[in-house]
Amino acid sequence: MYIQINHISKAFQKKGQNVLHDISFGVKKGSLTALLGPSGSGKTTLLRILAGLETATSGNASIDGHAIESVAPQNRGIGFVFQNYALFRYLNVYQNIAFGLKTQHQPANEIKKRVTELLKLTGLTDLENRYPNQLSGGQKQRVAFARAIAPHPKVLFLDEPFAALDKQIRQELRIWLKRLIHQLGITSIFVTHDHEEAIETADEIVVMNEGYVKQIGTPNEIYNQPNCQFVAEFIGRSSVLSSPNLAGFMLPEKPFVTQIRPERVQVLKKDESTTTPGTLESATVKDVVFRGATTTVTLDLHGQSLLANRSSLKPGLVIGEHVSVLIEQLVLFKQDTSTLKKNQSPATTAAPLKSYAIN
Amino acid sequence: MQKVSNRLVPGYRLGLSITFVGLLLIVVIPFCSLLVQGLDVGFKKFWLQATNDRVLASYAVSLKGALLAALINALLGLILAWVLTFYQFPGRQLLDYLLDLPFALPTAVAGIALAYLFSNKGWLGRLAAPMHVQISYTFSGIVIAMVFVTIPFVVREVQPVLEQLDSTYQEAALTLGARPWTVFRKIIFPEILPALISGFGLAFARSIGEYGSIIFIAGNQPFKTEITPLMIMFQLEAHSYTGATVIALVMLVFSFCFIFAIHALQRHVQRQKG
Amino acid sequence: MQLFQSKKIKWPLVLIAWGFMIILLILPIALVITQAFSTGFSHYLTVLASPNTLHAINLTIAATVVSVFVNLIIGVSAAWIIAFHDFPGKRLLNTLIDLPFSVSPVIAGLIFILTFSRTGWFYPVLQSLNIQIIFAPPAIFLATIFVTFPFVARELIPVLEARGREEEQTAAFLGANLKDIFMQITFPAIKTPLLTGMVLATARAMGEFGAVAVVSGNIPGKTLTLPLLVQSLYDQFKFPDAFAVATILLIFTFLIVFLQRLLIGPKQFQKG
Repeated sequence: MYIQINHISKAFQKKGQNVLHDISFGVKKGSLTALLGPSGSGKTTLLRILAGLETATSGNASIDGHAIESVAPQNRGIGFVFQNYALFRYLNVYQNIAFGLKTQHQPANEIKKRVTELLKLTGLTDLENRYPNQLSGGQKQRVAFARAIAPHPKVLFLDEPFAALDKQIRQELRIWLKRLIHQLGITSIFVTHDHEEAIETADEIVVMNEGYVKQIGTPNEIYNQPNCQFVAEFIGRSSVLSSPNLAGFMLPEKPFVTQIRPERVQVLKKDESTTTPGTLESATVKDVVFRGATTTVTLDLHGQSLLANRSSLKPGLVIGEHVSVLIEQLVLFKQDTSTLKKNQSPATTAAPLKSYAIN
Repeated sequence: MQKVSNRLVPGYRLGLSITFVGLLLIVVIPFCSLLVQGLDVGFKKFWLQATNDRVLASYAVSLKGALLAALINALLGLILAWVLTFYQFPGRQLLDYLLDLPFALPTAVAGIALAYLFSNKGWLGRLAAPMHVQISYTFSGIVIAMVFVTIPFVVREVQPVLEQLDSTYQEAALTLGARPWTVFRKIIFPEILPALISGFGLAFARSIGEYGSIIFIAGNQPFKTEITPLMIMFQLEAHSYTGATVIALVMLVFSFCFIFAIHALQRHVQRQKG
Repeated sequence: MQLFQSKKIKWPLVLIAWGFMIILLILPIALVITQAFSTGFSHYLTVLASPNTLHAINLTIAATVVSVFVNLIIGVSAAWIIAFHDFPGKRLLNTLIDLPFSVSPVIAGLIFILTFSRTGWFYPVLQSLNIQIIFAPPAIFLATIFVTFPFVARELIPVLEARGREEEQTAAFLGANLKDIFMQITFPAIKTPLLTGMVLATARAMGEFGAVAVVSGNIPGKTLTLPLLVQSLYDQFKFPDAFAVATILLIFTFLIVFLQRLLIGPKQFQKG
């Protein structure tokens, strides 16, 4: 793999607990990978260890075949974008972007060429003489990006690059960044706690929690085939039901846990029907929340809460109303003593429910 | 793995060396000389020197003087800070500039100026003479010098707090019919108390150790107007290094305890504020 | 503050403030100036031009320049490692740096006497090298360096710590060396606190009395700084002369206060 991480662990100096536990995975060349997890998951620490801003207690890693321990951080060919951009306050945009080239003692005209090219690429051409305090958040982000890639790094690391921005800008910039990184073809890793961001932007997602890697996969895999309860609950919204008695599924002995995505639940009023095959359940409406295009319905299914998405174009529901529910698919978690497994049984009747055998 | 982490920014070894050597030569070694010398003295001799009558009298003078000066400063400094923050009046800017002076003015200059000013021939001393009140060469002179040197401490601590006072509380009190004194006592004073304590502590500590501005106006009469730093000076002039060391160590121990006490008081007040 | 604007409150307080200002601030300054010239302008000039005075001016300026320079180097170094690096003993370092602040000037002088006196640690070495420290200019320089030690560091450290390390780390990451990082990234951010610290240190160095009085030996023409010369003249009852020399220090003081105002603006100066 282009970036290879082998058994990296990091211990807290004082507490004796580990920030990172035996992390191993690889990143393909040209891939845009997200390290996704809640705070404290160790994702930023891992990135900083790769960059050389922190040290691991054990383990090693390599970039493009070169072991990183033997190379100083500034010589690893890494571009780094910090969370707060860390633009040089007393240098203007041009000088900021040119900085990494100047330290490499590139000739002035080469620098000018490269910086101009980058300014154009990031849409900052008119701003080259401005200083960071005269820029908006989104503009600062783009300068930080341009500065990081100016010296032609082999890989690009971004530490929560959009955390400090407004939602609107965040979404625009996400798309822009993804397009640009693919255009440049530079292997990138970015750290985020926002699962939407990871799913929308990354080619591959590494889900982390409490210092462990939980799952690695494409956004689709992570979303639809979570391999443990944590991943299932962290990504997107879902309902978690304990040992429910669901007629349409072959379910094991209790106890077990099922995770159900609201978009996979169809709510049918007395007079409504569906063309999707499957066994229906009965439920009562507990709450209805209008969210614009969709309405989220909270249902009481055999005493447990189940979320469902229902198009707002359809007739409304009333609290207390008795409805039928079609659960299209679910993810099953049956806990052993120490491992998490997911099993799903196919539906018994004529409903071809999808099933995933994972692990 | 190589130790890279926070050594990413260069200059650690250079900075550490310079700082280390500098501290060692200028602060640590000289200070250790004092401690070593002090330990050398032996408990009995130490106690005798430290509690010698004349020295004891100097403690009293220094402590009383510093306490009085710090209290005067607390009141006067509060008034000055108040007046500078809330009122417009002729000479306001000048007052603000003048308050920088005691920090920057050489203590010897302040010393001779105050001593002369309050002496019987001086412009102000002359006014008090008919009433048989002497200022220079008395305890009052010492207090005046201490006040002069430390007045900015309290003012500059309290001023920022007064400036940032949220006026909504006072406005609320006003609408409820409170009189100015009540508003001050109940709403404003608790806010500025930590700053006052801080300023008081700084003024007190500085007054105890102050030398140049006091010795001219004090008159330096044994048992009456000698301050403790002067005792150290006398011991040195008499080539009694042990005597000087003993008194110096007593002063340092006292300062240390005092700083500790002030911090404790500040924490207590902070906790009360909630 | 409408509440407290009533004339009954305002004017008594303002009067007290005026009274204080005049009695404790304006009159002493006026006294120095008038007494300096009380025996005529030519006498004033004679005093200023006398060899003792000229030597004292030299010595004071030399001690000031040396101590500000040394403390600039040490202060910047200390602030650099404290702000940008982690290491054990940082708190101790901070305490040690602040130590000279909380020590009486006489004690500041005493510790150098003890270190370099006949019973001190360095005596044999210095004896053999025929270097005199105590009762000679070197001791004056050392004592002055001691009392001005914290000023630069104390201005720089809060500013650098508040600013964070990220710019410097980024610059290092992009391959910059120490000189580039300092000149391009750090220095522009610390120009004001640096100058402020230097101005404060200068004021203190020029006016230092107690510590220098202890170590100098008061040898006229050799180890008298301006403040010590003032004392010497005053003790000899040569009042006009003492005040005349004091005016030299007064001029420097005004310059320093003026510079401070320029740099920091009003009301922010609160160090001692």
